Amino acid sequence: MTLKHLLKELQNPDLLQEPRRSLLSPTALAHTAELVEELPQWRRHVGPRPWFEWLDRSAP
Amino acid sequence: MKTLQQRQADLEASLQQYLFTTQPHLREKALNEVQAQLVRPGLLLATPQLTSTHRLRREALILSDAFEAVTNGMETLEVMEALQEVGTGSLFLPWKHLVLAVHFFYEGLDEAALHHLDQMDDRPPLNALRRALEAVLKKSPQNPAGQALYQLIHVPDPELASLTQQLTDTLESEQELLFWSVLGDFLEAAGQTDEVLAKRVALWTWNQLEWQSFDEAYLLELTTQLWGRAEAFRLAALGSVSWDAEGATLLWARFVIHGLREGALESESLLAAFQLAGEFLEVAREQQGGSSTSEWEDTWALLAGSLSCELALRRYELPKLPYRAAHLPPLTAVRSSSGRSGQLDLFAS
Repeated sequence: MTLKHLLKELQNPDLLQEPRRSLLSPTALAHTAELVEELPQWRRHVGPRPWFEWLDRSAP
Repeated sequence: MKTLQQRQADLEASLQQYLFTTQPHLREKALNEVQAQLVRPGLLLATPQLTSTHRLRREALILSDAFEAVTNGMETLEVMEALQEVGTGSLFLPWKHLVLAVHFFYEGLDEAALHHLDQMDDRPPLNALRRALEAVLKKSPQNPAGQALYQLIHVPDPELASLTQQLTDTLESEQELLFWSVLGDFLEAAGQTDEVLAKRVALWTWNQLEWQSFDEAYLLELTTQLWGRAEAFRLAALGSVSWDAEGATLLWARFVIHGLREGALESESLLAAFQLAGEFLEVAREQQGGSSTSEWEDTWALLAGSLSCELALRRYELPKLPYRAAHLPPLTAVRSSSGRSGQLDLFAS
């Protein structure tokens, strides 16, 4: 095992088999910009209304 | 675009046909038309044709409650268990899979969400939502439907946005104590809704310590408080291996020791963790280039000895698998009357 090989696995643990996958998961956020851009866009529960609104717009 | 009232009227007409026609193909056609109007499972609850005990009404209520629950984060065991009543052949089967997909979407379990989307058929009106949610999950920015859905269901969290900004500001300005304080608030807030993402942030923080000389002990303590000692060591090892392979190797050994003590590592996980300990060691050796310090060697020996004792206490016999042929010698060699030097043999290359 080389550092390069290990880091490659750490970047994509989902490609591994269990239980190695769980032991090497999750991945780190790649950089500070990703933290700023992604985290405030958290998955928050918004209730059914927006989902239905989208369905109303898209349904034939 | 039809109004809800128009859909309700069309649905009732189709339902009438379904309930009062005896010819199978006409019933099937009518049921398909009912399904095509179902932009909400609750529409069927407002139809006068269905009795209070009719199966369709019962399933409509189950799906209506479940969809509301998974989208507002108020799932209860009863609501989710009731979904089991909706089986193969049900008009609401696509809705059931959609509900489960949305549930896993909010749980951050994208693979499970995609699995349930795959179970949905390609009929309108839900097929459009299936494709849009799939685009959101696969982060396909070029998909306009996915973008439109994302805009509707995405609500930036003002508290988290503020904490994120404070986190990057205090990191940049090297305000260490403030940084740890904000990180603590952040991980606690984030961990309540998405533990995986909170751990990704913890790993991100470990990565930052490559260039920022903050005290690692704060981060270790913080993550220990949140997830226990074993998990804190595991994250520390994973987060630091890229810039301090030797230190990460020691942290991984501590993870295995505490994983055993906390009962978090058994059978296959233990084998894999043990194998990874050997791999971390190889990486450390590679980085050391034959020039490790005696302090590091002493610490490793101590940890290797502790690990051996923990394994022996639990009567684990690891050498049965690849370990015999690999670089790690059998664990039966661990306990040695010669003390520390004997314990070192366990991990000798």
